[in-house]
Amino acid sequence: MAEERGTGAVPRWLPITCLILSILALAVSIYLTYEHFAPTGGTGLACPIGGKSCTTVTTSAQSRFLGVPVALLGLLYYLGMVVLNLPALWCSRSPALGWIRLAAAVAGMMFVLWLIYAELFIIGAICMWCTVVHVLTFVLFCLILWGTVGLAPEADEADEDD
Amino acid sequence: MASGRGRQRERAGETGASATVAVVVIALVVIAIAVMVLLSRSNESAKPSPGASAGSSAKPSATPTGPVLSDAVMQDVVGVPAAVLDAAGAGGNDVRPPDKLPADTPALTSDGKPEAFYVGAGFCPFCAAERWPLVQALSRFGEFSNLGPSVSGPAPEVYPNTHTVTFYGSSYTSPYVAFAPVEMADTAGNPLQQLTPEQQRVFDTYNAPPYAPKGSTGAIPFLDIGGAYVGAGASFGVELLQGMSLEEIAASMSDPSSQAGQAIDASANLLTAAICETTGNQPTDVCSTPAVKAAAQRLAAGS
Repeated sequence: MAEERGTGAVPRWLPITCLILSILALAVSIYLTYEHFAPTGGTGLACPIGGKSCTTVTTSAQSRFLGVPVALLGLLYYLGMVVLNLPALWCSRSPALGWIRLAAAVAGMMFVLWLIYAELFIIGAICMWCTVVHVLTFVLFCLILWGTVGLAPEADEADEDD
Repeated sequence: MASGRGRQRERAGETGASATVAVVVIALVVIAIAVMVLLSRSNESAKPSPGASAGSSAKPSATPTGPVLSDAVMQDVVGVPAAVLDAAGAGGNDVRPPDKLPADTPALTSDGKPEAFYVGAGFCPFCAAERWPLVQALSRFGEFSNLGPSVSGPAPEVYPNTHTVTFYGSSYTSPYVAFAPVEMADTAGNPLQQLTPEQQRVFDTYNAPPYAPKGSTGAIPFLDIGGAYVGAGASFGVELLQGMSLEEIAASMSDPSSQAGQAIDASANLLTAAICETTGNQPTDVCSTPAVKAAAQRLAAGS
């Protein structure tokens, strides 16, 4: 059993997948942060044709949380998630780390739900790259939830077996 | 042994319960997202579709629905003193000249005249900014009529409510150059005009690398000057126009101390120089001014 899984009860592929998802989300967050702070870069001097908004989402009032650009918050959040999802930390036997990772995933998911609400009902526009981050966050949330809660008793059992 | 099996059954039960909790939480998140999307869709479909209320025809009128520019505003735009235009010259780094097309690019003409082809939309703040120098430049070669006042999209749109004019419903006559504006949508984003197949071809071809910057590929505003130059995006910062009324923007063009006015004038000089290149430097009184010559030098330098 222990050979099929990583250390503890977590399958080997789970930390790797979570790490890759975090890195992908971090990359998109870096791009969105660049777009937010570089008004003359990207589409900064032009509007996308066919849509009815020009960088509406990434420059809207909802693009800031407590005065901090959401894109920057996302960047910092995924920097943290990359660290928390390092396979070495997944293998750690400290239950606190698992719960911190889960708490971060839940917080991220809650924030994504708020951002989706803001896009649909307040801003009235969908940001494609933001949606990519939302999807990555959701998948990451599912995996971390499953890896932390769904497999937790087995992990305890593995600990006892040792 | 028996207690060991019991503990195993207990753990198996805990695992099952924990997995159930995880599945339920994930399902709740999915349901929350689905409900939001469905509610958003139903709100959208409840809104009246643009043009549907007329009943007989959804085709937009050829005349503007709002008022036309006042003579005073129009005079401010077309009557900028030569000394102010000369002072603005070719502008600095804050004004971006149109990009030169390769010499073998087919000329864009209409009725035997070089054609300036513009694509924009009412909601677009960058289009709002770009119309000002375009109107000023083209007015040196001909005359607009029925230009109407307009504003870009409201907040949370970037640079909301930027005051401008609209080409929708206007007409332009000139013995030197033809003008083909296409306003694809109004301030609210409702569709107005569509590109003809030929215009679509020009737009798709020259509003992309290597002719236009990668960042503004397929974006608006777009301007093709006789197949000689393309302008992709606004030529100056829209932020310069923030907080200014229509009248203030028009008046700023004659104010050499106004940063917005100087940017508009410099951009208009650059557009004028580009048009002059397609008209064989006609008319000479327009194409030989110090302001336009300075702009032509910058265009030739390609910077």
